[in-house]
Amino acid sequence: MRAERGGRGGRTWWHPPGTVAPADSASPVPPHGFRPGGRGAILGALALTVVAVALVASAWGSVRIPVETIARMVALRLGLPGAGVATWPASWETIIFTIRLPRVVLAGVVGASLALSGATYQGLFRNPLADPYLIGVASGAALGATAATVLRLPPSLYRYGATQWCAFAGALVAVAFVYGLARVGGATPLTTLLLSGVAVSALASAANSFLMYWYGDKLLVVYGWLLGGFTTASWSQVFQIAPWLLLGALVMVPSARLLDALQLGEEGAASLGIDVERLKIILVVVATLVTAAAVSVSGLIGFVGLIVPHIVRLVWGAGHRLLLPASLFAGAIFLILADGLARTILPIGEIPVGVLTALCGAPFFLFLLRRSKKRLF
Amino acid sequence: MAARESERGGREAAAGIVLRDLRFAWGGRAVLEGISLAVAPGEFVGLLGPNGSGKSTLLRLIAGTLSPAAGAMCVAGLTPGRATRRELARRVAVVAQTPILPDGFTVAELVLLGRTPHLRPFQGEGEGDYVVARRALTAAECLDLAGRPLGELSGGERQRASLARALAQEPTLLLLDEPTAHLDPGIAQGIMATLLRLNREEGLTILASFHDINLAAAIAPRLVLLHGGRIIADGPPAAVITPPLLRHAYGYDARVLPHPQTGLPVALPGYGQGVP
Repeated sequence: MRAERGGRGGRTWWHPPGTVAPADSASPVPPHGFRPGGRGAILGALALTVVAVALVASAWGSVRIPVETIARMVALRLGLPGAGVATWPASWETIIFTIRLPRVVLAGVVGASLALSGATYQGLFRNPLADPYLIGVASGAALGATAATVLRLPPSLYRYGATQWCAFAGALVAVAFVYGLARVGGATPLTTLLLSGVAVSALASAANSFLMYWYGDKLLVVYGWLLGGFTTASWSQVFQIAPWLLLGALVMVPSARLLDALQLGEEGAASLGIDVERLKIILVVVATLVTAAAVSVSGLIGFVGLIVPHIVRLVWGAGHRLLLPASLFAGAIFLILADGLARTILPIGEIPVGVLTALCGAPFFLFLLRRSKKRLF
Repeated sequence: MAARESERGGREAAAGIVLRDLRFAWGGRAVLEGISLAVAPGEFVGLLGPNGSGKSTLLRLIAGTLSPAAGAMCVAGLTPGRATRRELARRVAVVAQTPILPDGFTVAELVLLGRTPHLRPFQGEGEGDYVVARRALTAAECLDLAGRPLGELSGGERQRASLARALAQEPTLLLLDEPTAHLDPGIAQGIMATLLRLNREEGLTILASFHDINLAAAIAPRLVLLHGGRIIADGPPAAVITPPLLRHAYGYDARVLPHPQTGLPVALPGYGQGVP
């Protein structure tokens, strides 16, 4: 009875029965305003840049080795056709394959891990200040590493340093705590998650500070680890963390569309049919694993996870389908270059790479920020 | 393909709302109590009530973003809570009062997000989705905004963009929470005209809450008045916009006159005893 007063009964507005679709529906042309394609081209170019930058950075150091020689050495090792025969001293092989290349690759994997997790966290929290250390990874890992040092755990535990294991475990425990504390009646509001992250981080930092104060003789070792770096890089470390990055990329990059939808707020995303709670826990778990793995081998390298996604966003826009994979490659490029500079810029010794990432990243970011008229979010 | 066709056939009946004795409480305090309401497919129903009367909560219950403490409900042929979120989002779309919109996205990208419930979680949009998005932009009368970043839009344009995103979900039922609350009267009128056209010409079922009593009376053929979490009136505007009901629900001392053109009720502030 009421239906008579409304529209024409139960006809759906979208597909009126018996009508032919309007003329424009035959045209597959996207409406003006859909971001132009070229995603594949951008990502391909970035991937090639990663390889090029890795070769160039391998050439840097006290022994100068030409880039094309390094390329041929790598091609020969990989058994690629056309590599020719070895015409270089055996010592170069040692320098490249046991010292420089593992370090360059490790820096790349860590940079990619931090930037990808950072982009995911920024999207998840809809907060430009979010970084992969936001909800407890950093303080948990630091506490784990400090504990391993002061407890004098054996330096090598199951093919992996005790510090690394404890940092990895500490990061996971801290984030698990944060997530558990933020859970209210089956839901985990993002604001609560942020605040409980701040609280747990403060608690872990306090415990960490106490340990460092009490065991003052270990201060330098712990502090060196906290600053972060790749001085102890080895292939085994690369193989320890690369699978985590692969797993993370296989989960995070395909979730880009859902992260886009999450930018409409939790309720907005839910009304689009997304199980927001499940999306949150999957992304937090994966991003935490990837970050914790990276931190366990490199220590706390700041800035990469915060700034690289912002730079990518300023250049190519806020859509996560390009932002996530582009951040992955850009993070690798950024940290390979930063670490290359960090180990060669001083005549003797190294600058901690975390210091260098801030030193060169911050001015570049400010330059982009001032030049761009775009809003970040 | 055949599955899609049969789904489409079923959708004609799957546009209405049936609520039976619905109850919702926040921490022991009842926000909604004994809500029974039937909205037939193709109806345009306006939801009225003072701040805190439960309008938004009722819309969230129907949208499935909140779950009732007690009572039975059937929304667009589905039971929220039993149907998946995705199934519900393919039939029910929501336009919020002040939607959260990412500034860096274009209107077209926002509208394509409306295709989310029709895509598998990791699937990208196809050409069909572009066609639907384009039609949604046309139906919401904002095709010209497609290329604009959301951060540059005015309040009215944001609401039109949100409406287009909702229409891209291809819903049978559209829920709007005070869609014109902060807009100038002319802009609000334009958006209401678009909604009315979608309802009359396309048969889209609409349930919208209103802040403006007179706008609701002018647009919706049927009004539902909420007060203290209960429905206290339900019927055509002339039966709901009355001085006693307005005084009871809003504490608003009003005179109600017929509109000179339409004859629909118009509430004006009364100047009786004790009112300056």
